[in-house]
Amino acid sequence: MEKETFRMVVCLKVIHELCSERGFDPLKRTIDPEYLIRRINPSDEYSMEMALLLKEEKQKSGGRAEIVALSIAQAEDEGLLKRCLAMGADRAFRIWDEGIETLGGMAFAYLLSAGIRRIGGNLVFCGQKAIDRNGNEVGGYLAEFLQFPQISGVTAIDISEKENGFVCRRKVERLGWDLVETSTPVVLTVERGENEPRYPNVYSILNWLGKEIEILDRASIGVEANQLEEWNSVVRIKEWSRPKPKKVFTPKSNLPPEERIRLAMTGGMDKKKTIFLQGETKGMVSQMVDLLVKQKFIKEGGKT
Amino acid sequence: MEGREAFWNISGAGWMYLLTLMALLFFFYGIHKHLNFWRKGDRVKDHHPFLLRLRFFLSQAFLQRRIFRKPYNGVMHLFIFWGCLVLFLGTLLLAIQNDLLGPIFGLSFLHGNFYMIYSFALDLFGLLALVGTGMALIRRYFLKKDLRTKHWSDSLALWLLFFILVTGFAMEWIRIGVAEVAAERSYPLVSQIPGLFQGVSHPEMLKGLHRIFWWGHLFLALVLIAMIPYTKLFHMLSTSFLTLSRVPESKGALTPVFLEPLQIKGDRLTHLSRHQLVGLDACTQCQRCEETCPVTMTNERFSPLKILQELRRGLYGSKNNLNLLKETESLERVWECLTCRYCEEQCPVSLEIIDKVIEVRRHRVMEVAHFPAEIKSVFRTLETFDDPWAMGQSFREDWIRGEKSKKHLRNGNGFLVWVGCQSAFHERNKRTASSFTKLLDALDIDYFLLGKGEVCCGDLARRTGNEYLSRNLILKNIETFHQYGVQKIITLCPHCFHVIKEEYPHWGGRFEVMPHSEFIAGLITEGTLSVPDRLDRLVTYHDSCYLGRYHGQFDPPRAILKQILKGDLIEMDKNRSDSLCCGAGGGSFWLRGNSGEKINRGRLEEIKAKRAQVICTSCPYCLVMFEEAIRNTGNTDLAVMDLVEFINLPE
Repeated sequence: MEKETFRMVVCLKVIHELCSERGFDPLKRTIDPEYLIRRINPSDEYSMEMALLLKEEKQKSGGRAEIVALSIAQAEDEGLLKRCLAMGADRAFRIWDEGIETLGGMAFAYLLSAGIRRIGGNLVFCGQKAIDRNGNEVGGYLAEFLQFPQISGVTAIDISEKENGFVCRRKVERLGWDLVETSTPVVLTVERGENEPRYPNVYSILNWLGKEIEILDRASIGVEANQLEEWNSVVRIKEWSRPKPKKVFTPKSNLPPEERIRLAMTGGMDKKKTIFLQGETKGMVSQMVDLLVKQKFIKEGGKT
Repeated sequence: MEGREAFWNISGAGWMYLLTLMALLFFFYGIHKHLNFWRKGDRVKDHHPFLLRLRFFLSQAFLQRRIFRKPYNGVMHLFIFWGCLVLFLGTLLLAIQNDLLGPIFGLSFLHGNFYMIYSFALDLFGLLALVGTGMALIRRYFLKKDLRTKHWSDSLALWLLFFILVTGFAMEWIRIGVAEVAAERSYPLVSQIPGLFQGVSHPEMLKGLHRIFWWGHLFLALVLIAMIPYTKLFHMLSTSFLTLSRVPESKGALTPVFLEPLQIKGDRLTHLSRHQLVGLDACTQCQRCEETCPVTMTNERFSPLKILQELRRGLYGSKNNLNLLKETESLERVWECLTCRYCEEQCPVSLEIIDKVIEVRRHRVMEVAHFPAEIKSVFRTLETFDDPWAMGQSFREDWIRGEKSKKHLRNGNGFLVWVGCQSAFHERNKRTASSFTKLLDALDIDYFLLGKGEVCCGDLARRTGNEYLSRNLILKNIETFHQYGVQKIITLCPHCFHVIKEEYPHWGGRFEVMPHSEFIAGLITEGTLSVPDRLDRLVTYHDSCYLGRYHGQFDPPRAILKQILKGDLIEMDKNRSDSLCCGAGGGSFWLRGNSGEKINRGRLEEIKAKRAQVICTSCPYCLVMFEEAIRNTGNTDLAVMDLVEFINLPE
């Protein structure tokens, strides 16, 4: 009997990386699209790499494996997707329909789960979080919608002796890890870590440039618009705050150029100065107070 | 008797023809093997005028200008070359008269005044060849005892040559002595040397000796001819092909892999062309490339010669397929090459080395996708941000401070000032860009800035072998140029200059490109710019590879400095075409841990020894490298400046 093809689904997200607050358009209250830098979310690339490694492992042991990529993306992001697919994906689907771009994490997860049901796959890879919104949500929701268990923070994977089983390494703390054994079906959310995503060779890039990414619209995966609205209203961001950018030291322009360069490079910091106070305790204390006053740490008149 | 008697004292001359035939068979079989190797290469259409190439060939072959970079070797090689050439031609003439014209047409031209010239020439050039061979023997056994690339066949060839010459002279002495030929009619120079055999009382013994010499001479000469294709002697033919098929005065532009429309030529991405294979074959392992290579100087495990040899060994006898190359250590070190072109400048057989290094890199990147991790992150950054600094286009206009310059952003009628990633993003180099625009503003010259319209020029990706990525960047830029109707471009970086000038035309981007140094020098000669206050500092100029060696721009920067400086410019020992790379070229700037830093410190030592106060360059990479070296070694009394920054100094 021929072995069944082991199908893995890798979810990819095209993120819009913001480079600076200068990109903010005050009139439209949104990011000026010209300043956006689009890329595939890094931890999604790691999950693609992980799927590839698993595929190679499977093939080594005589099995057949297939990697299907799934993404919710606009048509203009296809180039980016293809560049990532060139790493070694076998097929790819893109979910897109009207009104999708304004949805939040849970509705996205619902769409993805519908897509995965349509494609059919027992092992789902997801990035732990996207670095644009830092939501950390889609993987969990997706597991719930699919009724699969979820393992989060996965950094490495290997097949185990169990039927369709794997051993995953989870990142726990900074240097700690768990070794988790599980079997399909499962959703793995992948953390950036051990396996650097590979650089595809140019044959593969050119090959994917010529291929089509299949489009799934709402109807083809059986999702109603009002369902999406419903899921979208469950969790909402109410308010947010962003840290103010750190002030960058800029040297005064009237200084000579060499001095300015030196200051810019050291960040305006001069070498640490050490002063040794000498004499009796009382004298030393008053010297210290004088020094603190001079350096403007305390105000004068603080003497007792 | 007048004229040369070919078979005096010799019987059984028929054997000579048989032996010659055998030698020629060996010779042509060897040639056939080489041709088979060459034929594996890609045929590349070359539209360069044949006459120019012929001129280059003649200057390299008959004057051997490159070899004279080392005078001893130059004289030695020139003597051997001309000696052997004339002796060969002499023998050929004799053969033509005796075997072709004589028997068939009854013609004979080797007599009278012509014969006088003929014999005098043979005599003189024979002597030169003997001197040259002697010099080579002395070099081999006394001066260069520890030559790494010594091979027994080289010594054999040299000794063969020596004995051929000695026996040749000896048998003619005997002939002069015994047959009493008027000496000055045969060998006017050599016969002046007191005849060894003249007046010897046993002519029969001498005749016997002569016969031994004659056959010995013939045999050795035939062995030498037969071994040409199998030893380094083959360079006399391969180099001729190489110089004839090479682009004369090449500017080092790389051949593109992808042309529009995007498709793969043949079955593989990376191929070596026929010309490149001839080049691999022509290498004589003279070691000049590694003797001068700045990387080898600091790291002996890297060697351009080893890379060439590995390539030849890997490809000879197999198909022209870089996949068959074994991953040897020397080949893995191609990433350390600075593409500074010093080796090519040195190579006596005019071999191009950088293109082969890049071909290996292309193969590693595009076909097997196996290359250093730092390069990978550089590629990722270039793909995502369109610049190697991981900043993004929105930061490209940060260096523009004054309102005057801002006015010129994507607006203006003049030439385009191409800023480049270094000057747009690096804090130090931003000063170069703003100094240049300030100068233009002060002189009321109209110009044009692209600002965030620029993306990386593609040099970095091209030199590191990612042709696909660089093509994408180049096409983006060309489109932007056409969109804004750009015709003239002034660049602030020699690397951008080289790529835009020499390599954009492959994709249809033909623009008038000029580095900022040449432009400023032009302003000075025009009289538009004059510097009244002269600078009283000790300044030295560091030639950038891409401006100097690639494009021969040695004089414009010096002309500017002559106008600015009060005193003379301090020249380093290694200047102009001998200038050393700063250690940043060929992507090395982004590959930390390469030998770049060491190279740079060496260069700094040289500058310190010259007691210079300011290092002047016209390349942002050199500038940053020197600044780092100064900071790391603590030589705070030294400063580095771009040429254009000097002009603003008097303010």
